Amino acid sequence: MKRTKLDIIHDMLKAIEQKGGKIIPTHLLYKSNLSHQRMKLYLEELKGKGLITEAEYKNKMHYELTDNGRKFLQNFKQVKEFTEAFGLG
Amino acid sequence: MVQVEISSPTWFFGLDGSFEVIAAVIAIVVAFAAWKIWRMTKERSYGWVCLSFLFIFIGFAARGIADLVIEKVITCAPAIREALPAVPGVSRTALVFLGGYLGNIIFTLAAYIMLVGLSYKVEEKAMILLLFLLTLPILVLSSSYFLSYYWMSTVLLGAITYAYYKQCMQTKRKKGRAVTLAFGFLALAQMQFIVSALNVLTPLSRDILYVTAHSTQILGFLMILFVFVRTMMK
Repeated sequence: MKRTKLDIIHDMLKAIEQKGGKIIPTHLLYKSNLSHQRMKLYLEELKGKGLITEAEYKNKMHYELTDNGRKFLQNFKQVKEFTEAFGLG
Repeated sequence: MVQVEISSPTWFFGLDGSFEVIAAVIAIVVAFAAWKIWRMTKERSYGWVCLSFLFIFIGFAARGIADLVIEKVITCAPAIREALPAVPGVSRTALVFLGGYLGNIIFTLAAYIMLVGLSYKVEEKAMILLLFLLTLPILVLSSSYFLSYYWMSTVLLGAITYAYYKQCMQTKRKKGRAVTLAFGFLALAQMQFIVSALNVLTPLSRDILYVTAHSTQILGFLMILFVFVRTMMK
């Protein structure tokens, strides 16, 4: 079944969480199963919404999960249910 | 002099207000949940859901309080009647009635228009404003605010119901069915209000239809609450 935008955001944040809260762009590209261009667009959106930040770690650029991002993951099931019930997806 | 005619069986006075207050409480609960999700995701659609249900809360709270106050004024307490502000040419009862019912009309219509925009995924927000600007003059210029309001609500809620129904059929998801049904009940209630307001039935039939309209409406809101509780329990 085609992933909704919410599912894609969840998958990306989950990938970052599974890597201990920090991930390099290449690993995120593989884990998120998106094209490079689409991933860039989603990353901009996630940064804009405050769900992730950019940080340098061991001389490499990483994407880091924020508290808001963690909250989103914790409440994802409820958000998804609400979205589907009210037809917002 | 503004004359107020309340079409409701005497025994139902107070109950109609209570139903409206319950509907308002359900609406504010959904609005709060939508607001929390909006804060988390910053997605505009959740903001619109929050605003729509907030307007529904304001609309039904205004009408519910008006109905409850009127019930007290009519049945019990001259003291309450005297405590209300006096406006020349308008009875105190009429003042409460107008404030509550006009508030209900304006806010709920605005909410339903926003929900139409959401359910049809209207990108251009100017369309929503256009809808609102079209409906308000029709209301103001009509000879019966209530009939116009109930008719417009029927159309808007019917459109929302159809949108949700189409979505359910396309996505084959069971979850949307309860919300479809809820809005269907709300649309049906408005139709019942229209018929109960027309002078085509006997007074007894009008009273019964008024009661069933309120019951259908609260059923719609209770279905929304059911969906909400199921969502939050995940």
